[in-house]
Amino acid sequence: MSNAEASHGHDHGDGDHGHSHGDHGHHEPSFFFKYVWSTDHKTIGKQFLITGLIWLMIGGALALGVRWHLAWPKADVPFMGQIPNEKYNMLFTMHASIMIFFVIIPLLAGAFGNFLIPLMIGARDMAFPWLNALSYWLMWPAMMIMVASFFAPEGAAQSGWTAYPMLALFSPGSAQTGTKIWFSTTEPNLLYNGQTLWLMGVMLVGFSSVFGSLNYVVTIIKMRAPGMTMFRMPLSVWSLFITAILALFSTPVLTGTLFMQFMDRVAGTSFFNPGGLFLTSGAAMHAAGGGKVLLWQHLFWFYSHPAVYLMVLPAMGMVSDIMAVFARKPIFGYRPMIYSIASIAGLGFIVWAHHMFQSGMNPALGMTFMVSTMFIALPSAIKVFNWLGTLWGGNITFSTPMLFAISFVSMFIIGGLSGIFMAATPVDMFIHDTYFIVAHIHYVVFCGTVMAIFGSIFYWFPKMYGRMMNETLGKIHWFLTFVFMNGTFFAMHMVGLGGLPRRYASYLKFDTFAHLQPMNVMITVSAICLGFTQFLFLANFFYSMFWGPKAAQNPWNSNTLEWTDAPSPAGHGNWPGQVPTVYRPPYEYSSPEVAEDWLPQSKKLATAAGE
Amino acid sequence: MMSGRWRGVATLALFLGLGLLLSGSALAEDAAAPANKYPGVEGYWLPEGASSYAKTIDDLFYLILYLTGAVFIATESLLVFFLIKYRKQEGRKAIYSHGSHRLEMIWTLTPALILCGIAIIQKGAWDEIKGSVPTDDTVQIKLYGEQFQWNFRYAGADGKFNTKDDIFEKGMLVVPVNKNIVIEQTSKDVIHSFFLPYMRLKQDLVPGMQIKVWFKPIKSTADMQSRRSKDWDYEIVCAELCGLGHSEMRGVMKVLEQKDYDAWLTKRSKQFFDEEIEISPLWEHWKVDEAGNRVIEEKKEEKKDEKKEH
Repeated sequence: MSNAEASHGHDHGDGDHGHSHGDHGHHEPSFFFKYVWSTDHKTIGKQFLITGLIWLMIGGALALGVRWHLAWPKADVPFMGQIPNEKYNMLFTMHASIMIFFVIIPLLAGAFGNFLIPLMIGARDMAFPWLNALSYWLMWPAMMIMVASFFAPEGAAQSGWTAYPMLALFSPGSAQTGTKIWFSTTEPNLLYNGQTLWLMGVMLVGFSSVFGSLNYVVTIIKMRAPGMTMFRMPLSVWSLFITAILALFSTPVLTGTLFMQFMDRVAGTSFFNPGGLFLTSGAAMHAAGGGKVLLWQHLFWFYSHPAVYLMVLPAMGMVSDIMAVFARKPIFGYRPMIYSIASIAGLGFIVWAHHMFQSGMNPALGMTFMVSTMFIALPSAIKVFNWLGTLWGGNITFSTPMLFAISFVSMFIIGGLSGIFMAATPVDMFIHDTYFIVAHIHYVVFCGTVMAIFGSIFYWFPKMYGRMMNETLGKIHWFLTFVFMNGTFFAMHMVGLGGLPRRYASYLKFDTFAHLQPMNVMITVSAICLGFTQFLFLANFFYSMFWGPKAAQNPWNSNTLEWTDAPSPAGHGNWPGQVPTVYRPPYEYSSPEVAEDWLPQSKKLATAAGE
Repeated sequence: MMSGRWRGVATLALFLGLGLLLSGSALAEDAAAPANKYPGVEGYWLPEGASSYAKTIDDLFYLILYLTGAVFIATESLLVFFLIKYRKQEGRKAIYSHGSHRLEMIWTLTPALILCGIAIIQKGAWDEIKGSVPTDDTVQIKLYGEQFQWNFRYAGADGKFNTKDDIFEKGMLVVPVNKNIVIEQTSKDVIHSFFLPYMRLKQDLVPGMQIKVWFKPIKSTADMQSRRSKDWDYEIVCAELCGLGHSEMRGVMKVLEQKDYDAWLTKRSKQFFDEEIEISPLWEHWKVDEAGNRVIEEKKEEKKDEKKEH
């Protein structure tokens, strides 16, 4: 269902677009409106990208602090000195929180969602450009709150990114333990403390996410170019579309849940406090009781499980696009790929309690979640087979983006298969809360999604900045990252099978785990190398942005609209002339209709009018 | 062209790999003695199973390992094979294919059936381990977790709770071998998790809930020590972040032969009966009746009474 009226309306400059720039492309907006409060989806996308990459470094540094302490518990950590246990708990809590809420979700949905969607569907901008700018700028108070939390009395949040009561409720500065001061810079107080600030920061990220998702859904439904039917959209757009719907349904639950914990901490309500509890330290209990500890877990995971699919589905879509281009082949099973993405998203809503198998919830309930969790492996498997099918019979160029895309597939196979162990509840009884889980998480998120992000940055860099990133440096970065990430995270499967628990500052007290320490050291060494390797990427990225070789409009000979009809870099309004018209699906590579091995979506053939 | 030959080689390799895996598992089954089927070297692998259901869990683990291992080898080999065979060559166009309905059906139904099978196979084990608690041949123990310690209460020599000879141990669980140990657990502050790696048991201690778990140790501490050192003990590991002492919340479990257990029970009971050891006031907060069921206190304030109706 194309929408010619919508694109025409945009051509004439509808209200939002016109007002925010003051003028419709006839004179340059001021520096502030061009680079800071921009309503151009491409600029907003780039803002998310830069901010996301900066937080990737911060989150990574925290992880290295964790790894250092685990490998050498008694030694000083560089830049941090000795780390007492409460500070250690902050390291992994903030590492995870930052990576999830400030890196992966903003990079996938914020950076690529914003940049790609209008360009790939033939729109000039998003449906709500002002709301779009707001969705980016809401991240800033969230980020500042997170930074501030490190300087709060008693430090940043330290109850895990999962913030389970009662630990999160007893964290310093809570009404639950009798704190009455509202604000102080030196003593535990109700507002300025790590956990409460964490809650506020994540709530703001939730709003940003919802505003962005709303934009994506409306833009995709209403603003496609003439001829761009839903089933002619590239898989990047499909995955971002379905991800946005997922976010819209699940994020409000998180916001409500965070607010309930906020009320428990600040106002002394008892959503999660069953009453009758007390701390050894003697801190008084101020709860009416009647709440349930497990309530938090159900509500939290109801969002956080779909959130993990939020963190992988756009990556899958982008990897599909990259693979089609560099294999010079149509995607194998385009519609099954879409149905798989939709199935993952849909099933993702009924598997949440697989995080809670050992939580004390009714084991019969656990059985139902086990079944749904087993089945969610199925659409992911279908996608892997279809990627293999895309490679079969191809004419493959091993460019840097393609290397990242291929490694996404191969690593995702590992991450997905390890999930099956955890879905089997009796096995989960042993591996729950061990490093086996940590291995799984990092295989799908780092070895999977982050690799896809790197590849996608390489691939779309020319469209963003009009220059090419360096291929040689790109390949070196890819290779070293591939080696070190496997070295870091594969070994975690093995120590996890040895029973090594998560979130431990050190294992010095336990004979049971003493023999695993050499592997812990090896993991840390590998992680440090992995961390330093990323500087190669950063150097490549920032150098190429200013001094890289200028890019052609379509250096990859890709079929999709952003390459065939927009200049590199894409300019204001995206399409220099008219909005393009689409004649065929996006993956007509090696088509028998033409001599070249590509056939753009917007190219009108003399004889047939495309499919 | 080489393609036909390469295809044959690759297929052969795939089947060989699969065959090796499956036969390897058969060999392992034959070689190991029943009592120690998965010999636990203290290596980078599962620890030695020491409970009655450890073998069930380990069997399920190995089944999944072989299945996923086979899929892993098959898919990754195919991936590498395609990358080599279909690398870019001049003057060649890729195969213009949009997919295959037949293949989609095959690779949807086959994994679905396998996953269904795994789901069905394990239902019994889950029901047995977490879904029910044995009632015969049991030893009942209470576990009261706190930051950062495991507190155990035993019924004592008279077999009844809430009597003068109840035993209270800090951080030490003492049980007889080959009996069903039933532990009712709760926490007084935050969530902890009772993890016995060698028994394969894990269960969160949830404040506000009383949860029963069970296991049947089949290898005594002495048995395990004979393969390790005489100072070795089963350790209790906390497996849910519980604060700054989470990594130091170590407990010890002693699995004794029945006669040693009886001797310990008698001796320790007498010590508590004779009031030689002070009982921690902590236990005031978790009262039990003679049968061992928790007694919920009537609160003095009326307001709290109403709230308890939930």
